[in-house]
Amino acid sequence: MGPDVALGLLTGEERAVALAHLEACAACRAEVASLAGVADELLLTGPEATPPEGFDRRVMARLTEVRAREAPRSTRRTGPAHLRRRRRARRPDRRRLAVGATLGAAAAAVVLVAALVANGDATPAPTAEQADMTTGVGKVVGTATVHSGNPATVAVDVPGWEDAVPEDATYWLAVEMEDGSRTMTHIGTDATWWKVPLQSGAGDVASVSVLDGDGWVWCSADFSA
Amino acid sequence: MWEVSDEALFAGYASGDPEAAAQFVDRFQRRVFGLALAIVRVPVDAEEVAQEAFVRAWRFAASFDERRGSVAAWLLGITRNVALDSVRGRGRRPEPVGDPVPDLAVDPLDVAAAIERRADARRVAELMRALPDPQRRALVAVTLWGLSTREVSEMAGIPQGTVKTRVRLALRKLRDEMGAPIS
Repeated sequence: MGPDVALGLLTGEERAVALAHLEACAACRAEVASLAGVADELLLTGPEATPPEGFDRRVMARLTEVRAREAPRSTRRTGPAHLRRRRRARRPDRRRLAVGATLGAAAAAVVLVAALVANGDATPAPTAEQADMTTGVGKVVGTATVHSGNPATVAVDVPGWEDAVPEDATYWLAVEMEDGSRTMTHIGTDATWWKVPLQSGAGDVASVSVLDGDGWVWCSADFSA
Repeated sequence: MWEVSDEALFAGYASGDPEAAAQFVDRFQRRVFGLALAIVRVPVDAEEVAQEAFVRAWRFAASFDERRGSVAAWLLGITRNVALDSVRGRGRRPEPVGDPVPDLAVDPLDVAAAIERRADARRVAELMRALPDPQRRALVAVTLWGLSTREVSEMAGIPQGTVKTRVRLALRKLRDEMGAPIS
């Protein structure tokens, strides 16, 4: 059964039976997975052919259209699995800062926390979480910082932005939340730093992206857990 | 000249980097379109299949795992599935039009020889060459040309069960020789 499943040779009914079995049989799942991998490798020996003129442009146009329609859900989790694992592995690089900005020293933060506890103040200390803004090929071009507070805010700093983009282009700052919702804020090309308020809590931010007018991601930062 | 790896390029493609996307499409379009054309046989349908394959590669990018195989193999696997769906949706395959694509009369070793220059295909091509001829032909027919075992049976004039047996033996033999990818 394994080769037939791996190569897609089964009829609909046969396939349904096979899949039902696979669901309950880890050994067969492993067998099919290994055979499917080999079947894919075989395709590397396949024929090449030159596509019709303009094929690449049509693919890009179609991708742009699909991305514009689906980006809110798909960009958050896109990226090959191995790269997502690497991003998670880099978590320690993300800086969680307590109050910090105005205090500037750990000792001062400790004093503040101690004071809050002593006063019985249940209000959580404001925090800031920072992640690198990277391009699709992993180049770090800036940072995004999610500040808690009322309202929570996102600040994005992309040094060199002015020189990297055309003056008359349209860009958006997209903040995507864990529930899949997304807010878009138009950003100009004459600044390198932006700050936008959030509708919900700082802990709900999944990603922050800079998109061009066609919806392509120029750079992004991943905050998802 | 330094060249971005397939995996790095795909990471850019998946994340929406326009430059990486253009390069990714440029790098793989001949292979994707070539496989699509081999299976669906009609250029206009092959383009539709190839376009859809690139879209699905973006849409399902998160499912790619380099531990299971290369980007090229994964992308071509998507292409084959889209092409088979297209063919099955229309019933029997039309006769080839325009530039002829290889059929069972063409020795698959010619194909393997033609792609010897592709480093990523060399290993599997060598292993295919070592297969018994009937097994190799049956396997090539159902993978690269997307034929059903029934179609192979009719074209080759042998029982369908024999075709299935040859395909199964060939695929298992290749897997054993290549070493099973992790599951």
